[in-house]
Amino acid sequence: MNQDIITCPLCGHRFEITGNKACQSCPLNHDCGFVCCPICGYQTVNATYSKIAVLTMQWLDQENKRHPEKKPSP
Amino acid sequence: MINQKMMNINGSIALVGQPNVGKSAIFQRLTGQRVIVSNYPGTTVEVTRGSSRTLTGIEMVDTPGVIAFPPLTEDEQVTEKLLWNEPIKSILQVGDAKNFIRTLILAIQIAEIGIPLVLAFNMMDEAETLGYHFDFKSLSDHLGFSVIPTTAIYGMGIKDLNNALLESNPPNIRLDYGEEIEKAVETFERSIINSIDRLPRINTRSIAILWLSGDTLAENWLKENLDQDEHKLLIQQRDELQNSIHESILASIQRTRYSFIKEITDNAINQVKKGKQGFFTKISRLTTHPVWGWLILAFILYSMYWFVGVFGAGTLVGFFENYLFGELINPWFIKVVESIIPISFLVDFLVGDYGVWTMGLTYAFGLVFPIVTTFFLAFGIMEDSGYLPRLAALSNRAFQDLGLNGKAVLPMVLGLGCVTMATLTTRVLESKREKLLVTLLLALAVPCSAQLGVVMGMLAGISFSAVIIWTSVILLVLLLVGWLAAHVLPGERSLLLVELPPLRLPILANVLVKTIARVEWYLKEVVPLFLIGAAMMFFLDLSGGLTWLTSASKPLVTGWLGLPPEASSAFLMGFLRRDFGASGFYVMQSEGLLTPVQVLVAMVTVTLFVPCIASVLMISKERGWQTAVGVVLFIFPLAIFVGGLLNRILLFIGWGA
Repeated sequence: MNQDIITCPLCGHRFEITGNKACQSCPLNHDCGFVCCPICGYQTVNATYSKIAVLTMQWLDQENKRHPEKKPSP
Repeated sequence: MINQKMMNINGSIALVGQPNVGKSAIFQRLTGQRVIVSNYPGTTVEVTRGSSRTLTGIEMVDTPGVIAFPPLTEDEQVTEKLLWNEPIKSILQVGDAKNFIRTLILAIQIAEIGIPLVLAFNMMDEAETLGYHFDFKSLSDHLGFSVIPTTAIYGMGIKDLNNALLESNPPNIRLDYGEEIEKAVETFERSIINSIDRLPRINTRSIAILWLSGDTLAENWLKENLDQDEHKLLIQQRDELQNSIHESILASIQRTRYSFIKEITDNAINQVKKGKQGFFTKISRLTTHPVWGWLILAFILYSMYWFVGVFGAGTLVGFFENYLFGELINPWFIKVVESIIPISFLVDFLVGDYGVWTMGLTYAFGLVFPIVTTFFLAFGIMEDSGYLPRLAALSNRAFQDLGLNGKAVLPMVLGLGCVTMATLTTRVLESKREKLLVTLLLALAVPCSAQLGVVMGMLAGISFSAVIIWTSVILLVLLLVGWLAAHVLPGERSLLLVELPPLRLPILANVLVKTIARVEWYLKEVVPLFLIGAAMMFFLDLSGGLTWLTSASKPLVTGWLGLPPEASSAFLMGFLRRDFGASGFYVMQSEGLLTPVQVLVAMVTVTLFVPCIASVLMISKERGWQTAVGVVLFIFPLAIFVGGLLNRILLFIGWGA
């Protein structure tokens, strides 16, 4: 599961969290835990910011590796 | 492998493409870290420039998104000016492979300019997921320029793009637009070649087609450079041409382009639809249908009512608040505190009626946590399935029917995520009028996802009809205030252009991870606020301020809104955050202090309050403190007025009796 690339839930634009222009121009950009789409501005959660979410992602990745016959999560 | 001999060339490569096709992602892949962002001369439109990573001496120019020529917006005009005036060596068009017809129509227009062109068919992974198969050789051969498949976000196809750019030549394309148009094009070309010494860098045929299509830049250029009489003669010929054909010249030209592209793509592109995709395509169409769309929205609302309201706010809160906190944790903790702390003031501060533990933490974890968790799960499913842009398209129709601005819909849908951030995005709106209007509507009647969860959880405790009444009142206020404001603040309306990504079955892993991250963020944000709120209530109670406030606000709270006097403390909490206020009402409801009518009135009133302190600060920052004060002074009386009116209507019709 690659959470560094986010698909905007509103406009479908895919962008990388690093170097996100929208965050650079935001006055609340100090580790707010969210990321805004550089195209439409929709604010979505940055899962890499949450330790529990990161642990869950790692667990899901391990599960995917353990059960390769299941469709891996993107 | 890039041809080393051709690497030392100079000039610019312009990246051109429609909005939201991954142009900036390709730009980032092609350039290094150092880029220069500057306003295009005479405009506020930003153009980004950077050196190519692999092509020495080449500057890459990321132009503003353009949907088609002739341009309609300032952004599109800048791109057109840039192509006319700058020494562009090649054009790299980035297009969405899924929307290949739209991409290729723009490609034809760019190809006609006569500058070497390469087309990147981007987002190939998404196109392939949809079952598309492309014959790129056939496409390139028929179009007369290279078409390269790319998925920029993963860096796929970038090397091929660089190679194609090195070998690019002026496209060999000449569409036949019909005898009458071709004759007018020929006359135009002859006229400008004979009369104007300094022609732009772009093809004269392209200038002719643009001018015949009503392009402003071509028209202005012609006015400046051509003799007045000759200019008049050309206009006369164009008018004659327009009279001789049954549609607009632009429509006729676009129709020819469309037919040409259709013929090519019918042979070079095919789609193998899988069963599920066909089903989702049908559902996708229904979600924006003027009748079915609203029925589907009602169904989603009903499902959320069951999941968030009945299960989250009923079953889970029953377990967390009543059992876990009410029967196990709080009695034990109160006993421990009372036994180890001898000072009654401190005991009350921690575990009294307004104690930071018994009120602050119990509200946050026993009440709000289960509700927002179920709501974030439901919201995550909506997000991941691609329903939100469809909701924007559906509500856009309703807003436009009432004479409201189409573009204003988008920030309001963004407000469902976070109103504070959505206030920031009003920057993208063009006029001051639009910015002010949307800021007001956001602060008034758009609850953020967390607040929506708590409100919905409370209403579900009554009945589904309560959810429907609450939704209708909020929508009615939103539309009415929007409609009035749109008429008080006249100005140009702009269209909403939103591209609908494919509707799909949500991926549970994504939804789960997002929900966890959201809940963690929410708790981090609200727990301190709940603690501060509880402490504030404690001191107000201790100092007698709460009693005074309750009696002072009695005419409004009891007289007008028909709520018990204790409701004033919940409203006070609502000034900090709407959901904090809603939690206060939730506790009153669970203690049997509120009737169904009172719950509904309280929820409508508190939803119409200003969302939170952060949003007021954001309004002040973006629109100035006078506007922020104005918005607050408008919203609070209106919220109370609507709440009281609803109270009378509900009592009159005997609802909930």
